[in-house]
Amino acid sequence: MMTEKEVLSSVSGMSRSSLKICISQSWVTPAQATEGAMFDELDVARLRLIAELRRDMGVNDDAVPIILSLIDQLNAAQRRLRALDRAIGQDPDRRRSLADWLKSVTVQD
Amino acid sequence: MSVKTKTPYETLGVSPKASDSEIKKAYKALAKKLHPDLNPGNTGNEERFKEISAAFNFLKDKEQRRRYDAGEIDASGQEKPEHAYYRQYSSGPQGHRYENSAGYEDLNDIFAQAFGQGAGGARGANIRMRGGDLRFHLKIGFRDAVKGAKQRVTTPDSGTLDITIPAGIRDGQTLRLAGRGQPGLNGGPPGDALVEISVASDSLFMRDGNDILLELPISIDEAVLGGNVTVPTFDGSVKLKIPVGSSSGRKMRLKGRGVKPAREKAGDQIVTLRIVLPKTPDERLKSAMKTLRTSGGYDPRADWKGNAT
Repeated sequence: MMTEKEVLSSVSGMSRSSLKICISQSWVTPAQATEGAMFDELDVARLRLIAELRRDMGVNDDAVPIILSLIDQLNAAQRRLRALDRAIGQDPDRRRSLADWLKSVTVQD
Repeated sequence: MSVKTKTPYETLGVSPKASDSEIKKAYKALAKKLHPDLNPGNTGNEERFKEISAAFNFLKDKEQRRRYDAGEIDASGQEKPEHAYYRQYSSGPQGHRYENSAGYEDLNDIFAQAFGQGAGGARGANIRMRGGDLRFHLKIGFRDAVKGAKQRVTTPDSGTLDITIPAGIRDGQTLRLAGRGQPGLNGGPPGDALVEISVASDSLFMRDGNDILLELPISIDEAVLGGNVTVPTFDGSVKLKIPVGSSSGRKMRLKGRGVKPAREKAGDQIVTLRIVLPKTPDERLKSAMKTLRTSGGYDPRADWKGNAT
């Protein structure tokens, strides 16, 4: 867990005012502690991504939440696919029969 | 055989005469296309992204660029240190905190049932949405972790949240208070409050799972002759019988005096004996030891493995 001060020194391109925006807009949701906000690795990596979007890619503050939301949706979709993949398992016969079945029921859009 | 390495200009696809703003523009265009977090499924892009970042970071330094153009330095060694991308964490077990499953309403019932994942905190869509989770970090004392406690934390909206810490909680554990997060939208259920607990260390006791470890100083006569010593535990003090002839390091087990979590087997308190001499041995102790030595003493290394070498 990192404090606000530690975050500012470890994420390049993240100023105090930028961090304030990130928190007030709920782009990151650090844990609340009596000492103030506490950031875990996931929060810090997300702040680094936000800093790169804004500084290196010229993304403005209106677009940041749109991009974050799309990334979050993509991550959720990928997690679900991975879970599905694990659930199907490695048995080649089962994978093949599942593929055949999908092919037979898939309606071409 | 040497492979001709690309110049930073070639990497960014600009001419060596390009202006600073042209270089920046080229970098931005490539970064948008190649940033690993924008391409979570495509690992090939990561290498390319590193190259263009290195090239851009090299050229944006005016003095460095001038010296490179003049042939004074080469473009090597300018690669940025390995940097952890968001996706490395977002694909981990904690990663789903920010995830958003909007658009999977038709499959969510299956996923929720099959993989135990909730409907997720979809944002921005005009549907029934579960409120977001609120996270808290709470530092508690060692005793509170062993015995359990009630704590109150202040929420961001200046409300309060009463937290019951169960006996036996461990450092790093997270408590979930169902329904105490942000309110839902359009009739959706509220989110949860997640309280991550860190446990302070204690100057006297240590913990190993549900066992409590304590080091007990004893005198040399207690070690030789045995004796009864009062030992603190988290359920008050108890009398511990030191057996005759106890060496330093001997472990004594106080059954059931460890951590007692509600649904687990209670741990023990394990007391490690440590023989402590007075800071300056007095004459009586010295003469008693002299008598022992002149009468032949004893060999503590009789069965010692160190004798073999």
